[in-house]
Amino acid sequence: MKDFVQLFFELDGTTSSNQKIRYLVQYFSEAGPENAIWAVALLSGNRPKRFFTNKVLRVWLSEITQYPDWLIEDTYAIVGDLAETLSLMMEPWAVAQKSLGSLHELLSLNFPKWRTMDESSLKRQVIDIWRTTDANHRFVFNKLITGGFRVGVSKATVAKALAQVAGISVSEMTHRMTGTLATSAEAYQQLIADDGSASRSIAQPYPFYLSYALEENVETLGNFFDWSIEWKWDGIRCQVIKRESNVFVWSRGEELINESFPDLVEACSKALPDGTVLDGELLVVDQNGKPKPFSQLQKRLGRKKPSKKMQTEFPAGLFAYDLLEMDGLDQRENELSLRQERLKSLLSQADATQILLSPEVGASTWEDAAAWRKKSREMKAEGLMLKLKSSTYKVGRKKGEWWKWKVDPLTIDAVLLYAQAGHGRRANLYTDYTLAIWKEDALVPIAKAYSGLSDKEMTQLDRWIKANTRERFGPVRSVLASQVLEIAFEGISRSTRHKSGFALRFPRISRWRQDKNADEADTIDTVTALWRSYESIS
Amino acid sequence: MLEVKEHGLYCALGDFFIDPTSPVERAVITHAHADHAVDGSTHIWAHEATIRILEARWDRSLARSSSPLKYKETTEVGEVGLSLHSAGHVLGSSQVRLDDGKEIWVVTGDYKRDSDRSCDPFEVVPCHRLVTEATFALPVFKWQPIERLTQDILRWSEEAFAQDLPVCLFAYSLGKTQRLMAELSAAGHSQFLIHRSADKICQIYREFGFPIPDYQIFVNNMEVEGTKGAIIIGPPVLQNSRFLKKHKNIPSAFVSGWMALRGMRRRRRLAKGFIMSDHADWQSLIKTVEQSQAKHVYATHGYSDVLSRYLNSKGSIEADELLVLRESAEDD
Repeated sequence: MKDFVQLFFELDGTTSSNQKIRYLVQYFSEAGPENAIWAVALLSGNRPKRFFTNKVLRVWLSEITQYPDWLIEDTYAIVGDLAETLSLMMEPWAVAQKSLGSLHELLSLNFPKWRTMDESSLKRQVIDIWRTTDANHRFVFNKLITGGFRVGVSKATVAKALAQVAGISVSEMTHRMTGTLATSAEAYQQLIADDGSASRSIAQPYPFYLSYALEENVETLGNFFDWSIEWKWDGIRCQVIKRESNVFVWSRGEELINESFPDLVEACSKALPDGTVLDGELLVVDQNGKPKPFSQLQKRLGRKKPSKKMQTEFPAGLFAYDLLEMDGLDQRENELSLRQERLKSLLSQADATQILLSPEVGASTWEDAAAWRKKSREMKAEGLMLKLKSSTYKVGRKKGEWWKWKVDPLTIDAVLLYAQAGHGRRANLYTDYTLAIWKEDALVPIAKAYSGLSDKEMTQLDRWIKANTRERFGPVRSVLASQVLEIAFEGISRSTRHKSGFALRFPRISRWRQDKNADEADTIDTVTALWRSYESIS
Repeated sequence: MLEVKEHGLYCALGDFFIDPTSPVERAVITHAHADHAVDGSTHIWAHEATIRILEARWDRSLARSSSPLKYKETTEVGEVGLSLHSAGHVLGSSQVRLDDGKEIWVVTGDYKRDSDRSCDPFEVVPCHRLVTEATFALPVFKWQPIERLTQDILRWSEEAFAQDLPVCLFAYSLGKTQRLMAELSAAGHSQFLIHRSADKICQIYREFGFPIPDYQIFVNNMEVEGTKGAIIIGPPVLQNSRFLKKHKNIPSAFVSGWMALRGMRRRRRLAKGFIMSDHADWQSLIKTVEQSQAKHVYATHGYSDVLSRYLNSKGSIEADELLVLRESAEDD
């Protein structure tokens, strides 16, 4: 564990990607395959399921330290990280007396054993580890048992390091790492095999090709006719695989979501030929093959094994927009226009109302496209996708050939009512705001939002908050109602969550309206009108 | 005896403010950090070293508008006996003891209990009512012995020194810079390059007999050759200096109590942070409250809500928050 803990803090302690790759390469070359494979899993986001809730650990910590529960809770609220809070509250400068064994021992041998242990033995085990290790080990250990292991390194960086270790291309390594990885030493050997002998399972997805947001004027993209214009759907991006009569539906987060969408799996199973891989958007669709708003898809999200009723009421469908494999052959090196053509003919033969070709946007100039983009919300889309017709299907996020051109967010001006100190990077800075709109003479909350302000404005507003606090309730302060902030959001619905009776989707602070007084903020009437017009198109 | 008024903590019996937040007639100043010492008051009572530092900072003589005091020396101000007692925070830092013949109050100002070669140690002053700072009043803050810290810094510097590079520490010009110099020198390091904002202050530390090692003044257009093997110490603005922008391979680190929190290190976008503070950590705050024997405690600055609630929960002490709105300086 020592080398892994060291790696964690090395990665945490640098902002340079090249330096991170060097640390990773060194670790992978020295750790031994049975440990390295676990490091790959952890660093690419496959965290072990948590053993305990934060609550349980807080109670234990309170028992050990004799600190009242509220003190632990308040401290945790400020530190923003329970593993760190725990680690620092127990002798932060203690020298380790015991080793935690290797990463492999901890995760492959101890963790499974612990899962079968009763809580009191497990508690003894954990507390013993807290008492006998140093702060860094304790921190990483706590991260692992609370399911919150995360470090500032992207999967792409891990792939680069592993590609170096293996002596193969980064895109090949990314492909090998996509999907579910086994955690055995053999799996690691296969991962870093340099001879292409790595066998792929039939479930293995291709790495997704991701786009950047378009920030320049659209005209700078050049000739309109070189581009394919599609809707950017507001659903879940996914990859559907059918090989050897089996269907696998992978989410963009590389989770297998077959269980949650049995209706889609069945449709694909019937309609698609073997050796097919599609890239598309999972949405709830009506009988006419029209997408329903995201709020309907939300009913299906996070629900494993949905009831028949659920499936009939909110049927899942796929809007396919790319073809990655046909007749078992990788299509990614073909140009987009060819892939689209093949996709079209494949889907025209497929007999399923739930698997649809994502329609092209019928624009003929950039100006036209801009006008269509404005209608995105009516189409239940988030905007447009602009893809170069000649583009191959690349690995990961790449600039230049695919762009997302999202519709401008909705906005309202609201008054800052409460502020709370942020977590982690923003600990000690008041950056989490509760915002309100006018309802007659009272301000009623409509959203909680994190600051999207610049560092400078954030510090300035933090000072203002500290100097204009009216009351303090633990970590929350109520402030003088005078600051107006513009909230940007993607949707609005009726809800009892906030007193205003509305809830906003993805609210974030877009501007500090220092030019406005509190009485110029939006009112319940203007917000209701906004909701009506939004509902009417949804 | 004390109340919070618009300009801060006020003593009616003596008609003075302690560390007023804006200029007043009569001010007692606990130490020379900018968030405690505002220029413009008509008359100042402070430790003689604090007066010297303020003169250097404000660039004028305070001979006719101040009463320099020594520690433990009692002066009558209005109807109260006032004396200053070492707070161990920086050179000249003082706790203010007030005695009206009936009750004794102590205002700690900023203080620490950890060892520091560059200033006098904290003195325990028994009292009835204690006003204590609470900047780091959370049980996650626990400082390590200074020797371990200097060892950590020197070990971290080795690699850079071996490549004929300097290292850079970001620390405030009053207090932390001199403490680092004195402690690193005691740990065996001898080459220091100091930002000019700390130069005069270093001289005053020497005048008062504290061991400041030899140093040179750091300037932006230095050649790396002339800095090799040195520890550069300067205020955080140095982070954006031409010198460090040009030589990105020079390791740098922020030295602050906040560096105990991972999130704070990330906020500074700094790879490295060393945990060192001139404020009291959690245990020191609790110890100080106990040793003062005060039955009534007022917590101010920082996590005053947490400290007062905790003290109240123990039963024998009555604690309150004392909110003086002060722009928090980044000298922690």
